[in-house]
Amino acid sequence: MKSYINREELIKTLEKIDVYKKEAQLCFININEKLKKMNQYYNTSNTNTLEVLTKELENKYSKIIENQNMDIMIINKTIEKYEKTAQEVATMFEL
Amino acid sequence: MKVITSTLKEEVLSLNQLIKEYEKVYLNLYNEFFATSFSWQDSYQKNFTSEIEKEKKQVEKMINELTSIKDIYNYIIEKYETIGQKIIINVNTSKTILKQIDGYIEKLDSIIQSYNNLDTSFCKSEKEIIEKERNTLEYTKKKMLKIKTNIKSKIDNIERIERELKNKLSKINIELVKDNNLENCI
Repeated sequence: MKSYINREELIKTLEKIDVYKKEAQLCFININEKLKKMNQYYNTSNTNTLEVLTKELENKYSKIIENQNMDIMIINKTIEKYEKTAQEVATMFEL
Repeated sequence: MKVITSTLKEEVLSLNQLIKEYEKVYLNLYNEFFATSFSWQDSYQKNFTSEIEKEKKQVEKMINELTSIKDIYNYIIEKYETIGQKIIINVNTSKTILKQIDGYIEKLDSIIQSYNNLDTSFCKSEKEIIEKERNTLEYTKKKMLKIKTNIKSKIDNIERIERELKNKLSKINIELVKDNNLENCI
């Protein structure tokens, strides 16, 4: 398979990803706040179940955020890897 | 238990907006993740895209789970709003309250019975006063019976809503996200 990377474009995409990721994280924080408040305004024997569900969702957000951070790290590593290869090739030609 | 329907309503409305906002953001986010394929092509990129697809499905699932919880709160508001804007009741003590009311009714009954047993044949003017007093007690007893029916119907209603909620809650299943296999993407 042909290997190809457009470093400039990939960095631009990465910047957009970073903006959306931050927005998504802010949404998670706000959603969590709302769920906590809703549990507070509805407090019965069923609250335990609702609290458990809210906690599970919170764990799920953190896992998704962790995965998204990993995705960004992969793109960064890819850019680094291609840069390193490009430098090595340049050094080889200079030699 | 405590239910503040008016405040809960505001929070659910704003949660709905947040979910919609998140849906928009996550679509943009994953579109950008997929857009990496325009500027990065190699064997790793294919694995990366396939992992991103799995991840996107997990996010979609999470939004559905979040929506189910939101729907539960909408159900709570819809059902409890018919009772009041702020409901504070200790459901566990409902039987004691009803027993206490029954006790009052029983006492009223025995007092009314005492009035009935009085021989008023020899005192005409006192008879009128006694009958008036007895009628007042009978009116109070009727009121107490009405209060008891109202309280019982409210408690039954709350218990029914809680049972239905438990049933709805048992159907929500949140699955935790598994670690993505991203090792072969670098």
